[in-house]
Amino acid sequence: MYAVEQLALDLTALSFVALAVAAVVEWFRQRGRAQGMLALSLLLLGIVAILGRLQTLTGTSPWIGAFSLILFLGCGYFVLQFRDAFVPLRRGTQLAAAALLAAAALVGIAITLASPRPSAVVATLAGLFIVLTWGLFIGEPVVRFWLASGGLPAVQRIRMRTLSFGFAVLILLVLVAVLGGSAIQSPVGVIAVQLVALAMVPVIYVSVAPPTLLRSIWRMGEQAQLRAAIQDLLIFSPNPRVLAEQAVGWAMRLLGAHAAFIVDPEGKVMASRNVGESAIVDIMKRRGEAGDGRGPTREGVTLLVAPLRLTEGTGFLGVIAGPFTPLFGTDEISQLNGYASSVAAGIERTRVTERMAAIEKHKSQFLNLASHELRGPMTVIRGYGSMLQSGMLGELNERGQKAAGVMMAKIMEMNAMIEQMIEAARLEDESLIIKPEEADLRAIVKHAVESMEPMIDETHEVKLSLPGRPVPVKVDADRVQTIVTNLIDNALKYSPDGGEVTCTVTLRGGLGRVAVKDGGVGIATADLPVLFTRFGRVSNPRTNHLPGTGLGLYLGRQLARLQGGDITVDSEPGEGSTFTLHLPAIEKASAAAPTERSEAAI
Amino acid sequence: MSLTLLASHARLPDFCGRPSEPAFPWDLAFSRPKGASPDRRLEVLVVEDDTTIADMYRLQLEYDGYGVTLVTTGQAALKALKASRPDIILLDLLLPDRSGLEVMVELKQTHADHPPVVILSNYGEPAMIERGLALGAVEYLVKSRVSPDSVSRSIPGWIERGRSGETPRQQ
Repeated sequence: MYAVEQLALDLTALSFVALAVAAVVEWFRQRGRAQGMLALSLLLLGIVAILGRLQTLTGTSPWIGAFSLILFLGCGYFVLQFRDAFVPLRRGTQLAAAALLAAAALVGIAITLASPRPSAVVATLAGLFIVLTWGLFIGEPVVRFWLASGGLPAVQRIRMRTLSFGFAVLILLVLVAVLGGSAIQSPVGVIAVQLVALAMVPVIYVSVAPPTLLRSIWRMGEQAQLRAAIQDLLIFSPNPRVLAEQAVGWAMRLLGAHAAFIVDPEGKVMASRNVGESAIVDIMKRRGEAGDGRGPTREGVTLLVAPLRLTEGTGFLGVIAGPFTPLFGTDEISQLNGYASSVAAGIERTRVTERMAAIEKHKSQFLNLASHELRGPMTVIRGYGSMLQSGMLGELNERGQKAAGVMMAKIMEMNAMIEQMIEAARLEDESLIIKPEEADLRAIVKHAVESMEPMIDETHEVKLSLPGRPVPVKVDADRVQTIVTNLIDNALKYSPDGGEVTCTVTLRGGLGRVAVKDGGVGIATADLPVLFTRFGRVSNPRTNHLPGTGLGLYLGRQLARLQGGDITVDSEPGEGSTFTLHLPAIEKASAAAPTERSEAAI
Repeated sequence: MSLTLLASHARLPDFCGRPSEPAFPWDLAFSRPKGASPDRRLEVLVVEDDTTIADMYRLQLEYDGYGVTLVTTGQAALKALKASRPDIILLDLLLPDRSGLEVMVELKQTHADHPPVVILSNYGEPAMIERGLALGAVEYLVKSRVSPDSVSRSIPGWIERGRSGETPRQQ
């Protein structure tokens, strides 16, 4: 049993030495006051463990005992200083702690070096005082860390809590060892205590220098959340600024960093957290001097900077480690790089969205311009034009009459273009409202043809062919009339040599059709795809001089499609074209009686 | 829906040169040949801040035998209504001091039996038309799509419609 007991003690001592070495190495890599204090504390604990074992080998020496006691107290004191690096202690508290340290050290020295040896009661009381002092030095940070860890990113939180837990168990063990008396002095008790202490070594170790695997496990919860949030982040952020700010927060959570920042390609800080602008400028400057500034860089293990590849250049996403950030390893570099490319894509997206919004704004401004700035003067020109033509302003001679007629025709053409542009803009921003009502397609087409009559010159003839029975449809009659008049207008326009234009209404297979056929210039097959595009006009030497916005057929097809129909074309160059408007017919019963409107139209 | 017929007709030709041909369906029912005006001269209040448009309308309306009062602001319109009661109001929507729609709201509150209002605006957006009609306008016209003579000829019909309480939407 003794051998086992000694083995347990040896193992524990060795573990604490290993822990001390790990902490010192970690401090060497990260530097910083906090890491230094923690390393110092664990180093002292390691030495205490060695001295303890040495005493069993060399026999008890009061000097070594006194020395261990001081180191032991120092271990606690430096944990307190470690805590001070996070949340500074008040000056009074610092002084009190130092005084307590000195008092406990003196008591310890007095007790161990006193001869004759003090009584058991005095020794126990002195031991209790020392242990309580030590416990106070460590206990306060343990509680403080545990409480403070609540608001930290998961990786930091777990690390803080692991450390708190490890130290809390150590305090308990020491208290039990001192207070437990003989029960604990039994070999089984010693072994049990040593095993528990041994178990705490890896716990404290991972809090000091967590291995990659553990770090990625700690990150898992955050990453699952991040995956869910990144979609929102990248797709719904209203602008690059908001996105950058949120992205910085997520970068910190993802890597358990203390601070993070994003700079744009011009070096301007887009967002930052826990780090000042001058510090960022400094970091970027050092970075620029150090390397080519393109790849991810790792400065020591406390700063990671990943490139954000944007269209206008390369920006940077940086994360800065705090005392409790697990060190930045290759895993973190690849994490950050992947994250940075998502963020870059998100920033690009928000920039595009912003540009689009600006374009949209320009478009609606244009709509406003078209509707007001053009309509206003048009009102006056048209009004006086028609007064002039009607003779209200004085009878015109024959040449004047002719001029007024041409002027009015051109005014109407221009007006139609303005209206087409407005309708197209409405279609684009989806403010176009279709109001379907039951109607007889024959009546709509008849009205359309009648309305075109003044536009028909002597060389053209428009023939209307209607079926004997109603063609019931549920459509926006005004829009359909617009479509049909536009088709007839095109037919007239693109048969410059004159001729016959036929407009035939049919009802077959549940579809009402309006076919407008001309014998004009026709359209080459290659040109057909252009016809229905916005501003699409067929380039043809015979028709290039004809006015038009290139919106008529685009609008016609869109309006037809909005009502469940379509426009198709059949054409042969030199032979003429047939444009057909298809509209779904409705059940006859519901449209048996022609509506008042279509009657009025007839 | 004769209203939308006017408001959305890109290709609706202008018949202003042919007074014998009615431009609007209701003209069939309400048009009156010139000279057949009622005993009393009909009074029109034109609320329009663009004086070129206002003058043009005055020219046409006076030519057709109407009495015309021109005002350029909403405030002036309300004041004019206190002084005398016109038979019809032609109301622009974009006025220097307030919108025509606001004028209509005030009219409703202060003059329960106000004369029929015809909106003559350069706004042709469906939402605007809806609002104008919902506020009780007997007609909503886009200025650039009509000419003064067609408006002038339609006035008796609108007055009649205002009297019968009929609105274009109830047709």
